[in-house]
Amino acid sequence: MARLLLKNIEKKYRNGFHAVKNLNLEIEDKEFLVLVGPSGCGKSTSLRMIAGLEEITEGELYIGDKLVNNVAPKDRDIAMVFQNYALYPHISVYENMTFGLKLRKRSKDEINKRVNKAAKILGIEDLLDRKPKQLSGGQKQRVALGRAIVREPKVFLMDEPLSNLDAKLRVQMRAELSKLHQNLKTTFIYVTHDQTEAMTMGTRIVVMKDGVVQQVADPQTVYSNPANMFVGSFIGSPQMNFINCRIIKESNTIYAEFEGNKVSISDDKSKILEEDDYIGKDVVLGIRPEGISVKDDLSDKNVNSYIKANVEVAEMLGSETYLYLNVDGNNDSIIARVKPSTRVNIGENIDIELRADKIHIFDKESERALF
Amino acid sequence: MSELDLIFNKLKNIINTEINLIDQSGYILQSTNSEKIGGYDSQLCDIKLENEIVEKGNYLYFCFYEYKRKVIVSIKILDKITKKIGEVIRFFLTINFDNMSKDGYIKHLLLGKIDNHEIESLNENFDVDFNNQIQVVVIKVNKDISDDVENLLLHFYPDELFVKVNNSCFAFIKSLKDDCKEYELSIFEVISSELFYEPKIGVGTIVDNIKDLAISYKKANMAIEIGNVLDNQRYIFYYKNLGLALLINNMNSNDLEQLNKDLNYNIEEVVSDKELLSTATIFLENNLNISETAKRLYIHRNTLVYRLNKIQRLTGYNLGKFEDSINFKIALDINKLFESIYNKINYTIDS
Repeated sequence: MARLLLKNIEKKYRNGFHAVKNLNLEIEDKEFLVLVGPSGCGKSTSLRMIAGLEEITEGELYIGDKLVNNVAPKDRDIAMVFQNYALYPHISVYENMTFGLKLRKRSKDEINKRVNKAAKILGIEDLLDRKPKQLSGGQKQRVALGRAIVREPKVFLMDEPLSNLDAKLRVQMRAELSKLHQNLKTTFIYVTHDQTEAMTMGTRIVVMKDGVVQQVADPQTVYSNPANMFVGSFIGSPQMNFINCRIIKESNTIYAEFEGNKVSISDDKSKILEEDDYIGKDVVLGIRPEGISVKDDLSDKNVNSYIKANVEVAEMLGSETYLYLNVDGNNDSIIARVKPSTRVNIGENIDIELRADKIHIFDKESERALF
Repeated sequence: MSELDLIFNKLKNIINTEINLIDQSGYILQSTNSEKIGGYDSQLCDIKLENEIVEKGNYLYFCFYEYKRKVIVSIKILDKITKKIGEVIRFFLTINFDNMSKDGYIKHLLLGKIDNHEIESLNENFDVDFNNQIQVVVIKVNKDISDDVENLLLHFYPDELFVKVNNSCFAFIKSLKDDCKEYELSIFEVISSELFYEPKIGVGTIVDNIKDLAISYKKANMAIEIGNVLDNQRYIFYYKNLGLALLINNMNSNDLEQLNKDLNYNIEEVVSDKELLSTATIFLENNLNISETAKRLYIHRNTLVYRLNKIQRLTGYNLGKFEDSINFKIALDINKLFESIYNKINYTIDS
């Protein structure tokens, strides 16, 4: 069992810097948990506290049922994979993988069995006699993973393990890591700044900012129901569009209004705004690029809700097109993700529709999502 | 052929029975029974061997030191004669002709406790031969992990010259003839990967003669001490890279305070902002390269430019300019030095 429990974990440095604030997490056995956030958000510090590389200032850390705050890192039954492969240059791949086991006095048979099994999983059986300098970046990373796998740890900790690889290899390794997790059926805790890695690999994602957890949920929930504006902007590419609005009520219908444009709000969401007393208040409307319809995709139901926009740029990516739109009253361009068959001209004035079911409203001060 | 192989071959010629050479962990390095090589001697778990000879399950066990590696010999007892010969072999393998061990000699050399006129003869005695330039690499660890580190280094660097200076310090003597690129990085990585512990490593100056080993050792220690004050997030410190820091460290406090006043234009605002401080530090580390720094910080280059402009607004230093960046670095180092002095005073008062 490798369930982890982090209770009220704090990390404060001697210079007063508060790196992690009141971190509470329950990580289930066999889970693939991804800590994601911008640089300096506390994700690596959190991972290093789990590994024992950083002392925990306050709080409790359990691995299984055991409190491990004061357990030496080497005795925590964990394996860590770093972004620099940390292979030992003067010994072979086989020796790199067996070294830790020899040190732990495992028998020759057991060592062989474990290395062969790991090499097979990772497809590196042919590389065992090579020296690290004879390997490509991807192969090195596989060996580094192999060295962790042969330890058969309770928990794998990975700190940006793919960030030294080129873009193509990163995509490939992403899929391989997911497969590896399914194969090994062990708990993975993975740190990345890359929201795509987080979304594609994690069974759950922890989004962090300034040492504070912003949201913990499965990837789809984080994407579809961000807890606040930060999560909305950090997860998803292109990022969520934000428009400053005021909530108004006209003839029993509730709208988000900006610069004369009125975006109708669905009945169930209107209820939340009314109950929380947001009528007449300034808020921020958030909408993902795919929540904006143009041209043939306009619904015809809410003609009054159409907004005039001017096409600044059209980026054709083959499978989809991004339109950068200038809307009166919004400083930043609004990005819409539309079908590749959509034909627009640069400078053209078009109608756009913000689909009611895709709208998020955030409190302007706290930036918390109302829905 | 290694020293150990030579010993093993000689033993095979002396006595016609099963002989095994085993390391401290029980791993069988050499054996007349080839199937046993690479396996473990399970009987060893129950035996604590130091200077004595132990008989267990038809085998005679004793240990000797090859340089500083503890090697255990097991000899299968066939009859009284093999047992007697075993005891004689043990006597000759463990006899100590000198009062000082090789480790002791190296330690004394590092600490500068050996007179120059003694060095040549001692070098000969201990088979220490450096015709090339040498450099000391010091590794500082916590006392409670020191035994694990020693065991790890013995396994990983069986042929390297290193000593445990005390319970929190190891020193490697690195000969520059070897392919020693990233040598200290490899030491760091093996300790951090295998023990999940991040030691502080200092790399001393290069010296031409073994007589000057103490100088390189002292400077490797200094590199850790000063480097740690200026950047405690780092783990490897090179004395040769600390020129500026050494100059600042050697200034008297009045001059330092004056310089601080002259240079320190609002630098506190940057120091107290973790994001700006790490931006500035990583920008300097990446040779004022916008793309590299943005990549290291995982931010867009425009965000980096925005932050650098903010630093310029706050401090007056345009970090994109070489001269400004040098002055900013000096101001930053002085600030860290003062902070360290302040922390030390507070620590003394508290305790």
